[in-house]
Amino acid sequence: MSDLATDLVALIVDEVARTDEPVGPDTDLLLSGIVDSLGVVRIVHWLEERLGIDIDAADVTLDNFQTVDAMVDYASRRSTAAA
Amino acid sequence: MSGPFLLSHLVAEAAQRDPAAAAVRSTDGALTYGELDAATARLAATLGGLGVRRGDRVGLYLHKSVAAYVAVHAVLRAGAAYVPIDPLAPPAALAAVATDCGIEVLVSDARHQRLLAELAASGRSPVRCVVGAGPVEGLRTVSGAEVDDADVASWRPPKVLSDDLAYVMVTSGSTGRPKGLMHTHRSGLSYARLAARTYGVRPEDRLANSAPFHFDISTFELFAGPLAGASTLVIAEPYLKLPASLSQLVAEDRSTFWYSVPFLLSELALRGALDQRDLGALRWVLFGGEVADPGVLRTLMGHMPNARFSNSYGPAEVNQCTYWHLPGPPANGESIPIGRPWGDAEVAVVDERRELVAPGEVGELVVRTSTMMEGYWGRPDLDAAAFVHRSLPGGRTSRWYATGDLVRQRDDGVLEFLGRRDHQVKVRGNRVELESVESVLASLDGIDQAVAAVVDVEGSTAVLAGVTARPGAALDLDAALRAVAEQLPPYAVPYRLVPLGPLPLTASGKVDRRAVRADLARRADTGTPIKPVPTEGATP
Repeated sequence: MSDLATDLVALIVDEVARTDEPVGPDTDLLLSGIVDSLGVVRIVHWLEERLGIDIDAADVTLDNFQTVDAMVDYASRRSTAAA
Repeated sequence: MSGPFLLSHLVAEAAQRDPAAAAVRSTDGALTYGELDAATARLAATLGGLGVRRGDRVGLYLHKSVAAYVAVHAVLRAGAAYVPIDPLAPPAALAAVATDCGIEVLVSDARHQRLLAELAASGRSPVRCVVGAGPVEGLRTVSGAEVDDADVASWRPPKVLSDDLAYVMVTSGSTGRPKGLMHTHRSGLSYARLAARTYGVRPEDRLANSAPFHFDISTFELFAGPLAGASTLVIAEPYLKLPASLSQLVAEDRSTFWYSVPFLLSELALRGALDQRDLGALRWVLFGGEVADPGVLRTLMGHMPNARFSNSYGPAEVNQCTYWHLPGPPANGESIPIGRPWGDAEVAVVDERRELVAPGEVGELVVRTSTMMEGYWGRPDLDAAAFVHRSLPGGRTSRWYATGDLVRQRDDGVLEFLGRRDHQVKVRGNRVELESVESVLASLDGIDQAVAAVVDVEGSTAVLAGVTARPGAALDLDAALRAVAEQLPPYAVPYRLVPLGPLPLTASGKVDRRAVRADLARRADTGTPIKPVPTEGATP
């Protein structure tokens, strides 16, 4: 796992998770109830701070946030676009 | 046409009228009314074959899907009552509901296999059989393929009457013990008729179902939809947590009806990327369950140019009883009335002695309506407190439901909602009794006293609780939160526990809960992370 993926999993397990279910990079975070709507907002804030970017509401979608892998993909697309 | 007298007639009659019409769609597929009718009959016959009989309670423990929509109508068709259980409920909460309602058969899905195995291993529930989940150790299971092969031709549906039990909506009572609201075919169908009439639901309408099936407003799409021959989009749970995906789904679906708790409207207004969505197909936006924010409604009105907005009111005990169609965008600070009773409901405003208050005075709202529940499952004590007997013109006596809601009736008859008589609060539209959160917390090792409050966090609401340690004990807040999560539904679990020193007391020597709650509200820290999270500098 990339550093970002490792840190996201840690954030979710330690700070955000509403259940004791195991979390991996490809775990569906939303259907399982691990992350609720408040949790999504916290993850978005964390990513904005960590990456120094603004995340538009329109980007906070299933495609970009359903799993940690999807978030990492999104983050890499954003940093490529900025470079 | 004579029309249905049972909820189990709805799908069959819609299928007779137009079998090719769209009925229901979700992430797991789409069915026409003809297909929905056939799928419903197959599952009903399967349930009958498993020994489900008239009056039995069948639990629904599955994620929102076409399969879940089929399950509701199949249980009704089998002559039983469906008991929708929060798909996120932990096994202990599921066991509590199953035990309370005497549920032996569940309809579930493969995603619940692990939780069902835990339920079976606990040995604490009467559940003996699960349909639709695949193999689960310790339980008799029936697969989806077996349901598809059900022998419908030789199955005889049981006789059912309109006052037979149709569904039981379970909320958690103040002691944490489940509180089941018993609705009959008559009360449910009466709701469907009044809703279809009040909002003019038509066959070409496309209803966006946001509410979970264990939340009573889902009966709008489940019952009023097929009554009118309209189709329903069952919105899967992940969309409800991502407003931008939710708005996209509803825009692409060309949904014409939206019905939700105000919380979801706030989410859409705040994070729904509405400036990039075409929501012009919406003709009605209905909301109810808690007080809506006028600013949110104004924002939404700007993005939903063809929609009429209507506030619906009614505790789950009566489905719905009043409505208020907004005449235009509400001003800031304006409170949205709950309106006037609809056709088959009447209301009265009463004082503590249950006598009518003077016109314009504040009192408790009591309701008489055909959409009222039969009573609470196995709880005559609650029935005695909830129902009021009042005389009618002509000398008859009738049963009214005492809502516990404080209202004032304006000169023009319109009702304004002012608050609750008790400590019941709403979190994202769900009823929460703060005393129940407090009593669960106070029962844990190491915790002496607990005070819970509902606070605003990130434009949403959540429970925050403060606890004090028993003398000599160390507080383990994480362990306490995990223990609470095993006993309470997710929306009632505090998002954080705050350790508190000695609690302030009132003049009479009781804990001053009001002061502590106000303090907790100040600590909610809107806009900032709830626990310290690693910042860029701290994380390599």
